Amino acid sequence: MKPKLPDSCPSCESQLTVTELSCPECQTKVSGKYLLPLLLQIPEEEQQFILDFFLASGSLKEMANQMGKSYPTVRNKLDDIIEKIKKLQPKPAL
Amino acid sequence: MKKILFNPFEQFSERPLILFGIAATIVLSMTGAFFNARFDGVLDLHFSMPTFFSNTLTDNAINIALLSLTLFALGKIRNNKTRFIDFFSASLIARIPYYFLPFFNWNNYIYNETEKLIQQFLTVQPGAIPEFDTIQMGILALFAIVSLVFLAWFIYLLYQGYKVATNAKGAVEVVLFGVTIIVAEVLSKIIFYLIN
Repeated sequence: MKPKLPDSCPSCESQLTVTELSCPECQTKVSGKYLLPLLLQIPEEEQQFILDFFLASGSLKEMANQMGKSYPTVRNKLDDIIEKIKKLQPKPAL
Repeated sequence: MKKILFNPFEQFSERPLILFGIAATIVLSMTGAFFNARFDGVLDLHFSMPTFFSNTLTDNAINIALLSLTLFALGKIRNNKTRFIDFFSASLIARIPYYFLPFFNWNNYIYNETEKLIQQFLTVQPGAIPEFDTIQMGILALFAIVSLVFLAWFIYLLYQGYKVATNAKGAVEVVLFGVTIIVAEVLSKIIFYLIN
């Protein structure tokens, strides 16, 4: 089973950060505090949707055919993900 | 099956919806004429004699066009990405349940019984209570209940179509949708008054 990358704390639901990265070959470990990339902060199903959309050359019609859904349903899903990502984007400092 | 009956707009693209909607509108306009039904308003159904296929088809075409245009106007204000074709397919499909109500007027039963009831009210002495036939009242009450259920189904389908077309969420959208349906009904009554 492929383990699912958690995107929020199972205890308090806050956004998780990356504190350790390791090399599977030589076991070198890097410690620090890194923010998860924006696309990893959304649920896996939405990440897959974005990947499929990219692989369909950005064609909503093609996506609708693949998913067996109507065109406006797929467009609405994309719009919802766009809204979610806009909210997750760090606000520019004034 | 539940999705097909209550929200086909999520699954089916506009082409099959429109083709099925047009075919159903034409066929059920014929049955509507056979049962002497007039759809003389976006939310209206009346029985009158004589009714021809051209009458019911024109009624339905006007209602579909009005619903599509008024909902599209609202949809464009709420979400600029909406397409007219999605409101057109929603209006075509949502009205289908309504087209089955004329079947109740088998052998002009509803029309004749309603006429009798009106006559009873008109001929009764002032202050007296008209005598009603229990079976007659029961069937008319059943027709009224079924009509309300099918009207609710029609409005529910239309809202699902609107929701998918505009990505509508929340109570404000429900209120705006309701107001738009009332506006469409008023406009349809004016148009039917002018052409009939």
